Amino acid sequence: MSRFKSQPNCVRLRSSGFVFPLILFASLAVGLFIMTLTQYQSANRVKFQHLNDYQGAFNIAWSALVEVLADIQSKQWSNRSFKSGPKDKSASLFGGSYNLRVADHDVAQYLFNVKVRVSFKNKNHLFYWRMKYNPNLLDFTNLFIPVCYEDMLDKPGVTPGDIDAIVDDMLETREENREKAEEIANIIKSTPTLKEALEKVGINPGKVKDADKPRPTPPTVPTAPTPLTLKDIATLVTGADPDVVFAIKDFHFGGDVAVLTEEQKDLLDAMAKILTDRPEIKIELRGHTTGLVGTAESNMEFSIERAQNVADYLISVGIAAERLTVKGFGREKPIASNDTEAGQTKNRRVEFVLSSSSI
Amino acid sequence: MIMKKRSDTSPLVTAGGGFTVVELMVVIGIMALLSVMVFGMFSTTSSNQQKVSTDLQMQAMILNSQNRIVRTVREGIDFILPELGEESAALFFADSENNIRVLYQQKDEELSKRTGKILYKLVHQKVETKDFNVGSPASDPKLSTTVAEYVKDIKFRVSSANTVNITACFATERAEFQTMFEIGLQNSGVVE
Repeated sequence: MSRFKSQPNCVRLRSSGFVFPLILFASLAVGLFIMTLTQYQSANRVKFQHLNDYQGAFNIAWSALVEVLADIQSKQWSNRSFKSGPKDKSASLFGGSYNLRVADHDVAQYLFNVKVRVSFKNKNHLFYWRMKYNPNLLDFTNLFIPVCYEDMLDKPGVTPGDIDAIVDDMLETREENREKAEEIANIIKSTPTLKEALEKVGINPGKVKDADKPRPTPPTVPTAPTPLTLKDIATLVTGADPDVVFAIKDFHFGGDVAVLTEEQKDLLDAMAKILTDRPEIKIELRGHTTGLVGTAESNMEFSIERAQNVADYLISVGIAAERLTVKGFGREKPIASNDTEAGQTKNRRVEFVLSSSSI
Repeated sequence: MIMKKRSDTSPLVTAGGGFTVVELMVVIGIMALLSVMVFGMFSTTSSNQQKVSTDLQMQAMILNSQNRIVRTVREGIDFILPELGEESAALFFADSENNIRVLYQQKDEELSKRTGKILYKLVHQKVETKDFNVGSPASDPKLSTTVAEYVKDIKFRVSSANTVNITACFATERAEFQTMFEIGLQNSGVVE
């Protein structure tokens, strides 16, 4: 009997000997695992909170702005919803909320102001856009001022008009600074290294990364010179002497003018490049006048002066003098009527004619 | 009778119903094994958790830095340097009042010493155009702020008249993090 009773006791004791420590350590392991996961989750949450404080608020404001722009485009400017006065709107979006005010700024200039106050993650941001509607392009240009609003958020008694006035001041300051800022920008752009650029704005370049590294030169795309078939140009010219081949016919001067303009010099630079690439070509420069004033002799001299000025310039940019010949025709060869101003302009010219030896 | 009783029961069980030495040794052995396993697992998990936590903190810091850079550049109206298509370690631009803003990387001596890597901080300097003397340039230290730390390298590339691409590498003692983002200027034209 005693033997019979002792056996169950033995089994119970043996089992409890294993189970207890197993349960204890299993619980411990599960507990630690849960603690680890909790901390991981918490760190993840912090990460996403940080991510969107400002960017999330900006996305909400931008979405609100886009809605306003879409509204103007769909209804046209003349039927805009804020035509009769400022229009307010409040809504919740992307887990935040916004209050929007859109109002005309200058109707004649199609200017309007959009202010969006965003509450997101317990923080407030104010975004401001001054927009201009371009009725011809059905598009907008904008001026985004993110700085002024947030400074004013917590100030009591600030009205939307106050913010507009601040933006006006900022734009005025911008205009005042424009010329000097451009001057500084040009100085900075001309520097060969970052070090010098920093020094130009008064920043000590010591310990600055890549300060001495030379700025890369702008990439240039090498292009092979295009072979020009000068005879083809001649086929485009009508009403000219059929016996000659013109390189340039429309090289006109103002009335009583022989001095070259900057625009003409640019054209001659291009011409000089062609002549450099084609050393076999020789050019005859023929000067002409209208003959409206002066004698035949004075017109002849003036036409030579025009052609000579062109030749002098080409020589100054490297074209050999022996490749150029100068002739004056005075008023003898008009190509249009001098009765009209357009005709006179055509006649005040220097022609570039390929000399026969180079054809 | 006693002999019979002993032969009926296991020789490992004591007469009083307690544990034998072998039983205790087995239990202690299993406990030791489990302890080693559990604490080993805990140690690994804890170490990984700490690593993940540090990485997440770093990533959060990087995101904050990125947001600060975005906010700063969004105040710009025109890029000055680098020029279109050029890449630079610094960014010069004009802001909404035509003041000059500069973002540049300055070596952080203390952090470099601590981490054993050459690290920089990204500094933002505002130059007020109105009071600026071109002949004798000077910047006001009060208008200088640190925008980002743990910077290993930042490259600014202006890809269009109003867009800049930024590639940034941040580093700690153990790891490096890279981020690439694009900022568009909000001013698309002159409206005044």
